[in-house]
Amino acid sequence: MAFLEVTDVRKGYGEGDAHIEVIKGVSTSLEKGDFASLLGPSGSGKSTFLNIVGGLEPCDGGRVVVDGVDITGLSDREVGEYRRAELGFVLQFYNLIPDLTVRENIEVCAHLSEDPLPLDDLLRSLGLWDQRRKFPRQMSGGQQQRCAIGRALVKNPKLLLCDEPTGALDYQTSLEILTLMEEVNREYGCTVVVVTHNDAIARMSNRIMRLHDGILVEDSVNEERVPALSLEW
Amino acid sequence: MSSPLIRRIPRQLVHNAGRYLGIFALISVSIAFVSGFLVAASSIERIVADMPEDYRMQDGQFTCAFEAPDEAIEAVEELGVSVEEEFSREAEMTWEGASGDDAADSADSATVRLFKERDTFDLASYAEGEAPDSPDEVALDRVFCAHHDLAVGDTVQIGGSAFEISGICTLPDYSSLFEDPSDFVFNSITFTIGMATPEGFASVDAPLTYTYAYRADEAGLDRAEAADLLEDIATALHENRAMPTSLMDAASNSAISYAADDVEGDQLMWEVMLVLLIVIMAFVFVVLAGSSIEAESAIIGTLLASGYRKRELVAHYMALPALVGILAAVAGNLVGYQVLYAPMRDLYYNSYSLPPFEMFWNWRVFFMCTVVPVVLLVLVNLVGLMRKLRCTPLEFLRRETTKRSRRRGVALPERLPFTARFRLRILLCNLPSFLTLFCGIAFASLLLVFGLCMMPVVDHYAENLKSDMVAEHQYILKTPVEIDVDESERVAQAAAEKLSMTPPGELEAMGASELIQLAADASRVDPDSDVVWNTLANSDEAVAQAEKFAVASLETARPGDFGMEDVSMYGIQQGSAYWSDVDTAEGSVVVGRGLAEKCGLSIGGNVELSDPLSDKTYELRISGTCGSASNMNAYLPIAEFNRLFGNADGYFNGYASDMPLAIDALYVMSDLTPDAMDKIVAQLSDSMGSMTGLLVALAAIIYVVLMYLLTKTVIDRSARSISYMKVFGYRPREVNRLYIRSITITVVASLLLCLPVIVLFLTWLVKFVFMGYNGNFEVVIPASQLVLEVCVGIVCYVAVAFLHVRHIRNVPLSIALKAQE
Repeated sequence: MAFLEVTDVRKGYGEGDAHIEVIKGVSTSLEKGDFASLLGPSGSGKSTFLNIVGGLEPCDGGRVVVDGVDITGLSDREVGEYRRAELGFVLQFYNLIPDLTVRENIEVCAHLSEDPLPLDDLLRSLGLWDQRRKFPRQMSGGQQQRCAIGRALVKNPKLLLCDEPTGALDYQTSLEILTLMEEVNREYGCTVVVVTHNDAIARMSNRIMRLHDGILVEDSVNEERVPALSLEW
Repeated sequence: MSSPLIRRIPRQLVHNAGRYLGIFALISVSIAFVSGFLVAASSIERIVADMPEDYRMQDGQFTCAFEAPDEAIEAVEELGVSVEEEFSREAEMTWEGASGDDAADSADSATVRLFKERDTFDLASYAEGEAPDSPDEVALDRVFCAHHDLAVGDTVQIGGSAFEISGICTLPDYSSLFEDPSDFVFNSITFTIGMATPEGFASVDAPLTYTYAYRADEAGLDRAEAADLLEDIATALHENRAMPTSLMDAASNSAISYAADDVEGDQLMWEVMLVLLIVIMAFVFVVLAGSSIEAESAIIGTLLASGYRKRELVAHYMALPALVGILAAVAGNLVGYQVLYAPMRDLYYNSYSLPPFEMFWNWRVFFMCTVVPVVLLVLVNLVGLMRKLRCTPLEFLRRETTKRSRRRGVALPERLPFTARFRLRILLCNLPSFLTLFCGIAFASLLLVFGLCMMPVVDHYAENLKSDMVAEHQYILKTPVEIDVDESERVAQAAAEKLSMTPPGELEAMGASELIQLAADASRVDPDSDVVWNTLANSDEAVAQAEKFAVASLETARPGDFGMEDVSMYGIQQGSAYWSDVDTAEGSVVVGRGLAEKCGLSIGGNVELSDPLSDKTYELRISGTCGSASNMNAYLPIAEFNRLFGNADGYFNGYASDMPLAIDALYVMSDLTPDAMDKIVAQLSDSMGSMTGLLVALAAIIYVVLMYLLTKTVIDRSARSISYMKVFGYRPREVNRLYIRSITITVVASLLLCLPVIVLFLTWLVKFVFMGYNGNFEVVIPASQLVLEVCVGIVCYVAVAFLHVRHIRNVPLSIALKAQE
């Protein structure tokens, strides 16, 4: 059985004439350790798909099974526990707590795990060792996003969901962040799903999915995966 | 492992030091005041409660017109009580060297009620010095001495004789210096008690008042048993021709019970005030937390998405209010118990003559000032936070946590100028802050108006009482005294008095001719007559203008469960020159407007009056009202009065007179003059002056802290918009006009809009608080005081606005240029 199995997931908003279906029966699966890119133009439903997989919003139909657990059948409290135990989130905006240092921001999520990753090792591998005592306002956007990734990773999640993680960053910094995510995928073996509208990022993934108007129009294995550092756009 | 979020707490405390210091200060100061007050008051309550045993306080007393016959005392003692003489002499006391700068101190004479030293009942406690040891020594009341800077070693003149003050004392039966238990207020300014040796007591040339105190052999009588006992004592005295002129148990004696009632009543008011303030402060915390949650919405969304539970976030946002609340409660209690108990104690000790103060630990005070504030703070915050954090993680991530966007989206009429619409939107977006601000301003205004109106209310009450004074003198007599007498009648009465009051030994020592002359003169007095002839001469003019009346003390039930109201029932002459506005008619009663208002009486209805000394009740039809809103009397034609009470035709026990009358002091119970009303004002001003200052100070602190905290939240929320305005080219003054003026309008509108609420609430509060006391307090809130209240509010706000102008000037342009997450 695949690590992540999504079967005929549907999601709509509004009622009556105003009802719009954003996800129209999407089915796919990912194996443990996959690095998947979810592509699509604005409004195609990729963030909604990510939110459903992350248990942030319920779907109207279909099933989402993560590591053998059907999360569509869970109560709100159980979904919360699922996120606590299994998931890491990285968002476009870093949402760091301004009055906590880098180290403390990461500790915030280490606190949620019974078996967190060693903090010092993580800080070093994130390249944040020298910045560990700085506050977010004292760091660049790239460093803040590293910190946000560290915060998501420290729980040692089985599934890392990233929504436009480089959306607010310049090219060079984006490459650094993508490289980091690549290393994380390789070193920690967690499954990564990256939502992006940047086609270039797909080249570093082993799985490529593309949504268009709520329909999964591409779901392929990338045989020609390249290192993040070689990406250009 | 504790949550790393906890590390935010000290940083937030430092980062928002002003905000949290303000809240901490307000809560701790309030708790300090209230705990100081409550611990002082509860300790005083205990001291008062222990007085019956510690000082062998009387259970009641009776006063007779003359020394009670032995058989009367024996009859009373057979009822299971011990009786002790507490005879007194009332004399004028003067002294030199009075200093001080208030009005009260300018008086250098007073009335002293002198007692012989006591060793059985109502024992004195000495604050300074010791009991008098020689005939020229006297001990005086502590509060009176404090008012007049009299100290041990000073000399006073009592009834013309010099006495040295040997001690400063208090008597348990005069914990409040009521000259007469029927007075509305005590009088520690021109009245005092004194203790002298038996020889010193005898040396004072003043008439004796024959008061006896009794103590029941069985301790702990309840109110009903005490009343039954009182009734039995009255019967025993009457049956044995003791002629009691007054009779009351300790609970009915204002000089004994007033202080205890006052202490008890005030505590509730302070507790309610604390609870209200804590609830308002809790709402301030909710507003501040709400503002933080809005600002940190995306962070909260991320934390929730990462698996944080809502209760963990509630606990996190709760930590600061709880911490500040606990620290404030601890600090407040420490200051209250260590420092503020003293001024609070003095609020009472400056007015009441109580034994030396001793502080007692009281669990209820601890509960009210520590547990209740913290629990209230936590509960209100818990509810507020749970409401604020009920959004989904996605809503937090999308910053859709409030309905503000909907309010922001309200269509406003385009014909309104831009600035008006802009300000309206600021108001709509910050509605919770402004609502909390309104409540806070209303509360502080209530305190302020209460403080500012204390003296006008007292002045008005005294004015009312003065306006109800129909004559310059109202003499109340112990027995009917005819002043329209000729010389021979005066001589006859004087002879009769001398014969009856001179001890047998002295009579025997008189010469036979003198005795025969006395007997001959006295024989002209009719022994069966209820009326005695005045032994002093008055001018024909004085006699002609004086008018006889009769008065009796009755009671009527107050509405609700508020006990009985004292009513003075007057029997007045038909066509009275003094009570010209009282239109009495046969078969009906005219009641004072105050009595009618307080007890819900109306013309055409009936009033039921009862005699507290007997079980008789009288139901009378009301034909009219008269006097001021403080008039608690009832009026009948004197003939009807005498029929009603079974008096002889022509009975009277008072004179109304605009000219002073010379009446044998033996028969005068009291002389009520308009000056007595001035004493009331002086006494109440003295008692309430410090309270007014406290309330005004507390209200000003609340104004400043609440206005600052809540309006700063509005500006903090608008920081980005303010920054945009600056980028667009708005001048600082224009930005201020948009933001500060919106806040100014809201603050001023709150100050004005809460006025009717305050006036209504205060009227109800005063009526409720004073319902259990005798008299009818009319709430008078002069427009000038309301204007003053608004001005104080505005002055406090100006200080706050000045800080905001600085704050707005310092909002950096960079906020607008940063990407909005």
